[in-house]
Parts: sequence; C-alpha cells; structure tokens
Amino acid sequence: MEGTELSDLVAYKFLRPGAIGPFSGFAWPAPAGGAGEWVEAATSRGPCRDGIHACEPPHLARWIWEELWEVELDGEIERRRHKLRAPRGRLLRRVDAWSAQTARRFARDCAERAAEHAGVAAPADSRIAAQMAADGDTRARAAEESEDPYVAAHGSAVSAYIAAATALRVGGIERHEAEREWQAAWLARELRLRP
Amino acid sequence: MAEMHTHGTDEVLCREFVEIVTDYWEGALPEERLELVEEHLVMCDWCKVYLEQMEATVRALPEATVEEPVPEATEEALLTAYREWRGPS
Repeated sequence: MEGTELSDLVAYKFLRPGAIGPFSGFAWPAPAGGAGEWVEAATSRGPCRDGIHACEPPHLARWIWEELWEVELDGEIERRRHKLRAPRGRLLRRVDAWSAQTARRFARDCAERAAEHAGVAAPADSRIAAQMAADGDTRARAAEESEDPYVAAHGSAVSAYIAAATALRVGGIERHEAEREWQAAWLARELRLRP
Repeated sequence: MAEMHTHGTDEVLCREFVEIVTDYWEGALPEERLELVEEHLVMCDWCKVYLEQMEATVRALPEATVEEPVPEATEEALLTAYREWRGPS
C-alpha cells in the first residue's frame, strides 16, 4: 500500500492494563498532564521493529484489550489492512468510556447479533449457525459473570468475532462486512469516539 | 475457538498458527501475515497459551544444554565398556 499523509487522523490503540503493548510487552509512556512521550519505531526504545501500530474506529472491534487509548501518529502514516502504521506515535489520553462494564455490554449485544444472524440462516447452515450463536452467548455470559477485566475484554472480542463469523456463514462476505460496520458504529457511539 | 472458525475470509486458523509460530516468534513473517496472526491472537486463548509455552521452552533451552562434567570414574567405566564392545583393534 502506498504511503499516505494522514496528518489529521485520530487513531486509537488497545493496550493491556498499565498501557502495555499486548504483543510487544512495551510499556507505553502514559500522559501526565499532557500527551505522553513520543515513541519511535525501529529503535531500542521502540516497541516494534517495523512501526508504531494503531487503528481507526472501523477496525477497533478486531483489536480489543482492556484499555483503549487515543494516540497521535507522526511521520508517513500508512493504512494497512486493519491498522495504521507510522514511524512514531504517542498516547494522548485514555478513553475511559471503554471499561469492563462497557466490554460486557458490547459482548452481550454482539451475542444477540449472532443470534439474529443465525435466525435467518438457510436450512443447510442453520444447525452450525445456531451452534455459533450459542457459543457467542456462552462467551458473553462468561464476560458478564466475571469480575476480571481481561475476561470482559476477551469475551467482547470473541463475541464480536462470533457475530461476524455467523454473519459470514449465513450471508457471505457482504453480511460479514455489514456486521463489522455495526460493531464499529456501536463502539464509536458508546465511546463517543472522534471519527 | 478452533472448532468454530470459518475460512470465508483470509483469517489465520489455529492449525495454521501452530505451523508458523516459530516464524512469528522470530519476527520473520511478512507484515500482511503478521497482522492476521495478531488479529487471531486477540481472540484465541488457545494460541496465546501455545505461544507462551513456546516462549517458555525457548527461554529454558540454554539451561538444558549446559554441559555437565562427567566424573572421572564414570568416564573410565564408559571407555572400558566401549573398548570391550569394540574388541581388540
């Protein structure tokens, strides 16, 4: 993909508790009264060899962890498949509206979406679609019944995935994409994200 | 999660992750593939645990390969057994 200047972009990043990168284990400098320190890629201070990664609201549901942060990216920003890559970035503020409670609500709503998809499955797909929806319900219930923020976050990620997979099973790639758009709209609305 | 994965999109499945986990761990995956793997890891606890186990194994390997000195008596006994097995040269 060609490099694109996306200087006005508002980007987001899910992290583990304490602003820890889920894959790199990198501890992001948290903002203290302003923006956090800039973090460079491809240096000993950087969390990733190939770039600082974040994403836009349409892809948030694919990257869910316990904390959500608004980030500023700098340099030549590239839009990848479901994320953004830049030479450097910094945390701006934590999105407090993303909490374990919000994650549980999202998990439940996604489980209900999966059930709706399963409800219109063709006879040949109905049994498997129903099983998928039941799995989504199980995941959402686990999220609702646990005090653990990880279980809530993970339950919502899995529940969102199951809703999208059920949509795919029932209605192909168009229904799958529509489901992911619904999820993105849910998160943008409930978290009051800047587009 | 493994039993319910569908392959209508180009997502990474658990069995594929098992095959490429070493490349992932060594940072040898092409970026496009890396993104798919990490998307999978977000929601698959099984593969997260598998990766953690592999990392733990790799960390433990240097200790497992440390050479231990063989006591002199043991060494002599082994050499004697070998010479007897080989016979006169």
